[in-house]
Amino acid sequence: MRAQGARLLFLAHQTTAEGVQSIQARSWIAASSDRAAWLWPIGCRHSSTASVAAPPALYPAAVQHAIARGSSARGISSSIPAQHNAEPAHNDAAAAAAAEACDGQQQERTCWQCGHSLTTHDLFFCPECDSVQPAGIDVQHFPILGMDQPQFELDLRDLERRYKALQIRLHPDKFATASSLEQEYAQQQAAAINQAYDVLKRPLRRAHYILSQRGFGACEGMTITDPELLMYVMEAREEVEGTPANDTARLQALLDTNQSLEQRCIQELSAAFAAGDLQHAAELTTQLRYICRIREAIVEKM
Amino acid sequence: MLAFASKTCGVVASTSGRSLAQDLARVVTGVSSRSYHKNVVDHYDKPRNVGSFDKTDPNVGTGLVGAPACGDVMKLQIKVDADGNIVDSCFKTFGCGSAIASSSVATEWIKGKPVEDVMTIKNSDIAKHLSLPPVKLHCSMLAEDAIKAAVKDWKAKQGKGESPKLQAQAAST
Repeated sequence: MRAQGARLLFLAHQTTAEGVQSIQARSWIAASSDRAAWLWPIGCRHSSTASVAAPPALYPAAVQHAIARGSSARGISSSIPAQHNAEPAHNDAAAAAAAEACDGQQQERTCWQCGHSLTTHDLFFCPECDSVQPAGIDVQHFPILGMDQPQFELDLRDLERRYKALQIRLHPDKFATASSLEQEYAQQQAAAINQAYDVLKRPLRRAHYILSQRGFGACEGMTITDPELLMYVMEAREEVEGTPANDTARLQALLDTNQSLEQRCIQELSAAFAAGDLQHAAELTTQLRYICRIREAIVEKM
Repeated sequence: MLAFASKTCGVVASTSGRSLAQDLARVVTGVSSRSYHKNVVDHYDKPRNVGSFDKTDPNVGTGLVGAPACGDVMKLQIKVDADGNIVDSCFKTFGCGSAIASSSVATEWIKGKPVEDVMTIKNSDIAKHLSLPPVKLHCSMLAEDAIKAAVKDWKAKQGKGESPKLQAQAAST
């Protein structure tokens, strides 16, 4: 299931005799069969060894399945296959309780204006009388922008089109003569749509969102000790720090290097999501976060 | 005060430098109610022990840790003498003001202490000293982890056969 021979190019710097920094590519192979060499156990704060301990923050398979079941009942099913790991379920009673809670959340929705029943796809307007509906509390970003299943690979132009089409219908001008209740609902919906678009249009936020929906978000608060990644980040940040702000040529070179690294990371991430390898996707998302921070540091200097 | 706010910390420049300065400027003008505790400001404006030791020095332990949630990276180094006392320490942190301050405090506290003693430094002590808000508690956690990582690295080096005294020490831990 894991991507075979996933590779991420990390660039190392070398000082030449003249003291001018030149950039040298250094490939960093992460064969799926030898993950222990570079993998950091997400969720294991004190573990800096090569052992691949399953993160304690991962939901037991039973609970994950229950959540997926509950989600699909609301018309939101994930295209990413459930991650089955060797960790035994902590607590079957807890899993059963969670499953019940998911089912219990299904409620009949009807239009406040005409009473017509609403399906899970009728998020914004009543299909019968076209009245704007209040924003749902648990509606997720992907359904808001017209996708039944969370997916990492997105057509950004299509996303923007959907976003704009929705916002045109919900623009305050369109509700200038409507009741204050409808104006309120339109505002709520617009805010939810804005937030959904904000998250989905950025690869890093999108990846983080998909992972947290699938139970991989809890380990974010943990410390990592992966020496390869951190050393690279440290060197890169120091390099940026040491570059004078007026040396735009060098800063641009650093930016270009970082951008290509960012592209590669996003490609790898896309492959990991497509393969359903959420563990690997989580690691790549962390790498992507660090790469984005480096980019921000360079841009800030320019 | 505004001049202070606009001054950037040249040695540990990071994206947080500007935001901290902006926050301070806003505090002065009373626009925002958010402010940094004076200990944090102190450690940010005058960070102690910023720098780098030679990683390959057998007496140096290097701890390199990161916080994936915010993309912070922290390096903390210790220089240990033959008796197992930390004679010097330094750090380099890229992250928010709280992370920089936490690592600065950490290097201050561990200087002069035996290596074993610093393993008991808790992130809660650092957080309390800096009055860190809940959202920044992970910064102090990172500093605690950096200390432990540095000690672990030094110990690993001793295990490779330095002085007999240190080897005995390493064997007993």
